[in-house]
Amino acid sequence: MSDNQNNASETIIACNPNAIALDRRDDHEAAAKEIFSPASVLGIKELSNGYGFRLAMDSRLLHKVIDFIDNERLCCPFYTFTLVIDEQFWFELTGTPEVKAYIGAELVTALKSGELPTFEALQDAYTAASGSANHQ
Amino acid sequence: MSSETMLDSDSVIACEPSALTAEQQAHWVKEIVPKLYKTVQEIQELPDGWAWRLPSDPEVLMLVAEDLNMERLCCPFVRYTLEIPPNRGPFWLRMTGVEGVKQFLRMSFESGNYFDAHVAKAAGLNLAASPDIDSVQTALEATSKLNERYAQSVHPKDNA
Repeated sequence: MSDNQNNASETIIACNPNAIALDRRDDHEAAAKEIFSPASVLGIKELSNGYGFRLAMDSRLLHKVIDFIDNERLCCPFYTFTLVIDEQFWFELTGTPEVKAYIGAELVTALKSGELPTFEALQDAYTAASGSANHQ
Repeated sequence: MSSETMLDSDSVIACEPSALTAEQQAHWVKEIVPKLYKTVQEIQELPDGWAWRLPSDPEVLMLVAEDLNMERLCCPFVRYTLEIPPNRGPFWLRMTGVEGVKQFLRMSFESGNYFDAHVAKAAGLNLAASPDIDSVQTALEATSKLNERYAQSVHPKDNA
């Protein structure tokens, strides 16, 4: 059973930063800030099941996104990550309607304000969400 | 006589290994082919291309990143879609494009001994005459022949 599930039918829609090894968290936070920075994100589109972020087509950035996904899928196992590469480079985060709402609230809003949530804030949110799920 | 096949003024169905540095070419042969292509678990045919199922493994993810960085330069007419599903499910790499791309990709898969034999056979690929891609020279020759064969298949009279 993953850290984001209490039972087979319940998935906690909150990222659990503790799922990322301690020695990788600083790099992961830095990668998130770079990937979701105004310099990297050239556009945002709403999808039926999530959001897409158009990124600069850059070899180094592609590697960084893959690195980011490698850790993020541990932290947020409810996401579907999709990279689309042709004339443009799109990074899509999708999932259930609850997941889409989570992405909108946590990431898209933060992007527009320029302040991504910190690890501490994500941990607090996860603790609150898992505590709430345990009491249902 | 051109070995390139024009779709329109902006798109050519032919891979250009010269878009890669010698170091990238060597890396592709020595690392990507044996460690990534051989780990493909399933090859699915799509209406407009192909999909590979790959194991949900961090090393595979890094190899895919390296491969995509090179493939997008070498074969820019292909749309690459990498899907990483929830809860550590297998990765899916889809390669699609306009008319002709699917056929080119099939010929590309059959131009060298890239995949596990069982996986290739299950996908209906014919690797009987495919050389082992064990050197940069072999890889470059295979790509050159692929481009020629595809061009001839599309315009047999023009390339006669």
